Formats: sequence, structure tokens, C-alpha cells
Amino acid sequence: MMRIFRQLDEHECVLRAQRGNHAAFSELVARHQDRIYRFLFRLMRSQDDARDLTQETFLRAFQGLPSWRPDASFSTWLFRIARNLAIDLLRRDRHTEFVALEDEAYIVDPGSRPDAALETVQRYRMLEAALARLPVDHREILLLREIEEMSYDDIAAVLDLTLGTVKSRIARARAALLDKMPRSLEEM
Amino acid sequence: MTCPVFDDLSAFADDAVESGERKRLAAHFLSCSHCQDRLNQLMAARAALRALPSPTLGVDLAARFMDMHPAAPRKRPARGSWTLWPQAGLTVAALVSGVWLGGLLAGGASVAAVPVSVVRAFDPVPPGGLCAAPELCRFSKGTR
Repeated sequence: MMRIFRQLDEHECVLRAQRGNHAAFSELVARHQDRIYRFLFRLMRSQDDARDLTQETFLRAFQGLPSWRPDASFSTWLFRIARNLAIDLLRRDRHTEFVALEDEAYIVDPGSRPDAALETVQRYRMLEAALARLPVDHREILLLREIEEMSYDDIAAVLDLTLGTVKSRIARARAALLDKMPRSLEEM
Repeated sequence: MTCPVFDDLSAFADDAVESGERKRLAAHFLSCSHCQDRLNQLMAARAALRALPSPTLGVDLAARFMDMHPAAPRKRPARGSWTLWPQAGLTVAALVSGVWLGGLLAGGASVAAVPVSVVRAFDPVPPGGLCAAPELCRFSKGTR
């Protein structure tokens, strides 16, 4: 797809989208779709759920654009929508038990040597499995902090928590992950 | 100094402690192998998580969105808006004048009722001109 607003900064893009410019909103989708999907995929442990929720997130964002205010960044707002949709679905469908990843094709690097690739894939699998065994509240906060590299302030906005709670929950989630990670993974 | 709680160690790893506290913790880590080891584990776990390959959606949602919304919305006046009245008036006037002119061209009773001065404005022969053939000029001999 031709991205005519590729050079535009995020804030300007959102303002144009708010004024009804669909190409500007489309640019925002292009910028954030993979990040939102990545977060949802690891939170939900399901490709189909993550795809559906990603679409739903952008649909909700489009509908809610008139009410968006620049007191939080657009991406933080998107993550908040995505996270709330995911939690709703998890509560509704009781998806809380550990489920293996449905699709592991993305963790295979076709360019590496077969033995090295196998070892790497094994490590990734163990790490993904350790993540998947965490309770949802630990998993979501680790995904936001360690993979999305969000600040404590942004995490507090996404999860609707105080800064103190963010700090202590991140610490507990890390401790839980270290307990579930094989020692070899810590040397990766 | 006693070992810090894990919350502080975790916040230290995120550079989320105040500078005074940071100096105090850093000094402790230099002398405490247990805390240093814990901090290293934490940093290694972070590096491992960040090294994980990213799954991608595999669908161009942006293009799909543009297919559904090909152009920016244009403001259209509501039906019956006052802005349409001048156009409607012109349409009616055009229709009325068309019917009237049609009647003139077809001839008939109504033609006789129209004053000659008006009819002449639409004659194929300019005022004062000669009519080449009476049947083309739509009047009978002797009316001029």
C-alpha cells in the first residue's frame, strides 16, 4: 500500500485522522499493527484471537478518534484498547490456563546453520513457554516493559495502575519469570 | 548495608530510582556477589526477551482499511436543505420555459394567443429580414 503520510510525525497524523483523513489513519495502522499484534499474540497465545483483536483494536480506535486527547501517546492509547479487549476475551472464554503457542514458524531463522538454528529455536521455545506459564497480569506487564520497552508512566496508563503498583508488579513478574526460566536461558 | 528488596533491584535495572538511591544501590552491588548475580540474571532475562523474534500479523490492515474507506468523507448537504432551493427553482423555470417554447414551435391555439412581438423574438428571420419560404417562417401569407 502506498503510504503518503510516511514522513508525517505521529501527532500530526492523528490530528489529520481526527479531521476525517482516512489515509492518515491508515498510516497509523501501518505503523502500529505489528506491535499490537505481537503483544496480543503473546498475551492470548492464539494467532486467531490475536488477529481478531488487532483488527478490533483499530476499529475501536477509529470509532474513538474524536475523543482522543493528546495527554497520552497514540500508541499507549492503542495498547490500552488492545489490552482491555484481550482481558475481556480472556475473562469471557476463561483462557487463563497455559496453552502452547499455536504458531512457532516465526521463531525459525531460515538463514542459520541447522544445528545452530535448532539450538536457537529450542531456547526461544523455552523462553516463550516460561512467559506463557506466567499469570496474565505478570505476562502483560513484562511484555510491555521488556519487549515493547514502555516507560513506567506509559505502563501505568495502559494498565490503569499507579506508578508504585507498576514498580512492584514488574519486580514480581520478573522474579516469577526467573523461577520458570531454565538456567541456560539466562546465559543467552 | 543489607541487601535491597527485589523491587528496588528491579527498579535499579530500569533506571527508575532516584539518583541518591541509585548511588547507594550501585555501591552495594559492587560488594555483594549475591545481589550482583541476581541483577545479572535479571539483565540476561531482559536481553533474552528482547532477542525473541517478533511474530507479524501477515495482513496489511492499513490497505484493508483503505479498501473499506477509499476516500475522505465529503460533507453532503442534507436532503431538503435550503441550499437546494435555488437549483430546484431553476429546474422548474427551465421546464416551464421548455414547455412554453415547445408549444410555440409546434404551433396551435396557444400560438395565436401570444403577441406577435414576443413570437418574433424567436423567428428564424431577423426583424426586417425577408422570408425565403412562408412555410419556414410559420406564418401564413398576409399576416406580415
